[in-house]
Amino acid sequence: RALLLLGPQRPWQRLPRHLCSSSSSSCGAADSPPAGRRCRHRLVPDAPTWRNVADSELPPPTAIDSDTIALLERLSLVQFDTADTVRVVAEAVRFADELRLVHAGPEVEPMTSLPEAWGWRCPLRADTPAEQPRTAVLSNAAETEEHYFVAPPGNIAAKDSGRERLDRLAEGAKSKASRSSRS
Amino acid sequence: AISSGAITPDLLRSSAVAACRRSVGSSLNAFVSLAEPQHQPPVANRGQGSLYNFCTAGCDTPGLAGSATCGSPTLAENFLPSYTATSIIRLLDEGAWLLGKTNLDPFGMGSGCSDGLHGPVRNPWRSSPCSSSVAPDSATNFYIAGGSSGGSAAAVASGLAVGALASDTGGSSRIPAAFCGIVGLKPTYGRVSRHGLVPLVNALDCVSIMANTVTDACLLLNAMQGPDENDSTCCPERPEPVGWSDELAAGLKIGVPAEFSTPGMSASVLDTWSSAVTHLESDLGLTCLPVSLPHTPLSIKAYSVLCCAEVASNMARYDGIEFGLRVRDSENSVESLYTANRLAGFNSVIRSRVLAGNYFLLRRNYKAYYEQARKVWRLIKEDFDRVFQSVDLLVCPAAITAAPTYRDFVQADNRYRTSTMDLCTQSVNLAGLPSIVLPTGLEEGTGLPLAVQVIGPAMAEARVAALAASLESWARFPLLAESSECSLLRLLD
Repeated sequence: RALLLLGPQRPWQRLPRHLCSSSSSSCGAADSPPAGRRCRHRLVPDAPTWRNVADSELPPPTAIDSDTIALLERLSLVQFDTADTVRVVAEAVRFADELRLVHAGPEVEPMTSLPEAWGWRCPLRADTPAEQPRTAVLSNAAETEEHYFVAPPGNIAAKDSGRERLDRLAEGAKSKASRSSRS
Repeated sequence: AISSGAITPDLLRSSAVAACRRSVGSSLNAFVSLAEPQHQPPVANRGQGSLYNFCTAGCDTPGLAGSATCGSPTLAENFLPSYTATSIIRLLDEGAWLLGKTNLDPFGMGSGCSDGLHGPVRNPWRSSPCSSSVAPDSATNFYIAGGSSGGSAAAVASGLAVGALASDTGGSSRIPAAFCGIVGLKPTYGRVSRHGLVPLVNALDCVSIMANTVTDACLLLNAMQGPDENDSTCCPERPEPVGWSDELAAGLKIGVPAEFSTPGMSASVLDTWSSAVTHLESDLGLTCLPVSLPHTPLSIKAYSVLCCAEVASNMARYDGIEFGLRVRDSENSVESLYTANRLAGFNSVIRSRVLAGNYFLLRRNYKAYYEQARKVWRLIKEDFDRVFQSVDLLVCPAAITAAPTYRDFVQADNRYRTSTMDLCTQSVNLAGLPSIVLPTGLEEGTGLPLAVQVIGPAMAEARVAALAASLESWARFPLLAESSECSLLRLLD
């Protein structure tokens, strides 16, 4: 299989022709930049082009209250564990709030996947069983019994983790948030 | 030296393996495990194939039969994959020599490669890992390699590996490539099979490539790309091998996207971008046009929602029953055991993403957050589609600053970092486009690498590579691997 690789050779043992300072080729003597300001290519914006979105434009911030904490822990089977995790999740939600400012009407169809947008077929395999040795299937399980995986009984609600724990997490996150906004 | 016969491929390999062995557990911390003999190319393939001189490293998320993965306690024990990723199989078939698995952020979540089970990866630019004459840095006073695939970048930059695999979902191969002064290539989504890659965000994940030169990166890509019956989301037709002639770069129209001048971007990154565009326009005579991707500022927000939502789904499989970490649980209920396993296995970064993801997916939030994010995803993709009707390629920054120090980096949490550092990379993942990042200069004062990013339309890797190669030969960047004592590149000449 021939490779059509006609690219450049490795740049052996050469010093860099330029360190990173502004290239002067786009600055004529006639338009020398103001003191302290570098002269860059005209197409490269010197300042960020993003608009600052004020907090007042956004919907009111959601507080992750103890009910929400309980619900998310139950759905995820993952614990918040500390008030800091609650704070991080609250900030993740706040960060996403800017999306709600976008007016995307029904003519904008939500994306599902790139292959779908590109019209790829994404074939499924034939529904025929593949032989796998039982030992291979069980080999990574920490606990097995007579060639079975071992799982505890389901349909048992987790012991009520205590309103106090949930309230403590919610309170802790709120005070962290207000402390950081005060500072 | 190889061509002249002074060094045989076997000697090259044993030197490489010895160097890697020395580096495991060193302050560089790039490698977390070394390849076993059964991972090496079948005897018949040795000394043949396009990659027979390639000593490569695999990022810890593509599965390798018999080798544990992921940088997280969840899979650190009780997980030996019985499968090998297609991308790795294809490299081995071409005769590449696999050195080992590299360090990363847990499950690929992070932009600093600082959070993993095996500890942070140091950017080899701060000190030479092989030289004993340079005093080692203190425990926290080093520059980060970038993440999540920092180990791969450090391995390639320091010359321990000629090439390495990485995963790129929001910039995880391109940020470390920029920080470590090497080439990072993220192919078009679906161009390289994801079979065997532990999924983070199925809709966006790409097996990506790190190498010291654009040519090497393309050789690795050519070995791996193409349809795979084990990955249904792979491209349906075999792409042409990526190659180029100088003529391909001539006459290209280059777009300079204004929205890639982002908050937090350093003056030196802006200068780097400017130098590259100036060279393309003034020296090569290429037409450079201003273009606009107006939804760019929203991209990182949409990405954060889509990423968390898929993470919540993908992490659901780690319950400790069939594989992975399982703790002793006194309560003996599914809910309590699964919760305990996942508390022990997932660090707070993973847990917060799962919880945030499930928050966005709650019935009451689904439309406002998740469906909205999917709509913005469509708008982002359409921005790029529109822009590529008037230009052939985009040239812009990759990382918004040079590599920060570990001490500074850990002042803020993982979520904050990824939301502020991935500004120029994740929109490319949303649009599924190919991108190459390459170093073109060094920052005054710190001497750290600075890079530019070349983005092309879907499946236009050849065009992207042609321009990247042209920029590479102009930049004459002083590869760290050429100066390092453990460098393999010296031996290859």
